[in-house]
Amino acid sequence: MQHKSREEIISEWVAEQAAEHRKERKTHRKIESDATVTINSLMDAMTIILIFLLMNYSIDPLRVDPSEDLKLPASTTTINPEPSATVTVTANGIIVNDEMVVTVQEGEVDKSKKQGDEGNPQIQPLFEALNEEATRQKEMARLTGSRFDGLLTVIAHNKTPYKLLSEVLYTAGQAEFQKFKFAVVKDGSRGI
Amino acid sequence: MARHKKKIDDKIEDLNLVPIMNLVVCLIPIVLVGMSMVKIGVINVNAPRFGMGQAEPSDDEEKPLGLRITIEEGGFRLTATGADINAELGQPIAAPTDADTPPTPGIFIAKTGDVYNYADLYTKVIVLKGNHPDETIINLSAEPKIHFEYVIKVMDSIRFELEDKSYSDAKAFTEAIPALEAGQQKLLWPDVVLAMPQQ
Repeated sequence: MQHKSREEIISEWVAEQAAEHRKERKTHRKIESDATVTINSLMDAMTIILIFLLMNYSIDPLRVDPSEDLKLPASTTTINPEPSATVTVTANGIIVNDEMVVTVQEGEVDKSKKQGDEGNPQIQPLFEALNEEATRQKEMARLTGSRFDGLLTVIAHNKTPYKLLSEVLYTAGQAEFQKFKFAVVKDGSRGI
Repeated sequence: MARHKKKIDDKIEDLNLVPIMNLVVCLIPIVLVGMSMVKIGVINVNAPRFGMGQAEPSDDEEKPLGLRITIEEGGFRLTATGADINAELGQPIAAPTDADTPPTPGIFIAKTGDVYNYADLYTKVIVLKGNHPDETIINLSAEPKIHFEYVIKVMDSIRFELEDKSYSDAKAFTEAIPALEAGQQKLLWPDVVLAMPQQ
């Protein structure tokens, strides 16, 4: 009997292993080609998340995007916002229903924008915008047979000086808005 | 022929959900970015009174308290038009710093360091509420440069009655739980009327 040399044994073993490996890969490929990724459950989860997000997006009557110019003060209030006309007082300007009506510099409106003399707190461009909004709401109320409620939500930057805030409220009052709501961030702590 | 049809039927697979999946995966971040993560609430405020005097009550009508809080740079000032709150709170009228000016009635609650003393303000207004239980209206004013956030904090401090009548420090006041009445938070001074700034 002829003994195989060490090199021959090793080369035979390597050839066997390679053949086995090829066979295994072939089988595995066949299994892979038949398999499909089941994404139905993932699809269900994604759809539920999307619907939940869209629901939250649509039922929120007041949307505020905080920025450096508009940081709302925190409060312990539990009252939710209602749909209404809005006045936004940022560090740079006053916005009525997403339209900038007058600019603010260092917490003050330019004196030329005031009605009459300097001491008059009425801000004329704001009055015109709110008066137009009030007229529109009254017309809507007349057509739908409801009452004009004169509700205005004030979204103000937390560093707004009280003088500017009172001028905005006074002007809104002149435009026949009589009920006010201040927008705040919920879950604030009392007295901090 | 029948065998051919069967072969076609066997080839019908599940719906290809991958494009819909792609769409949903794109929509979720868009909606998340568009959504506001902060919870917004509101505080009701009554229409401001600017320079309009109140109608004088008739003799048989009880005079309203007319309580007013003014936020000043140095602290809070409590005044009332319909009652002697200095007597009610047991604090005499402070002597004026200038001999020529008359003493002004009312109570001044000074800041503690740089911080407003909301706990002391609450302690005072709850005593006044006890003496005038039917009153709900409070006039709120501030110096022109006082920031809006302090107006909100004062409103928060006086809106609801808390479990205790007085708080010695700010931490205890912050952590205090509102008192309940028939499952609802007990109101203290909920009707805030803003007034013109104090010059």
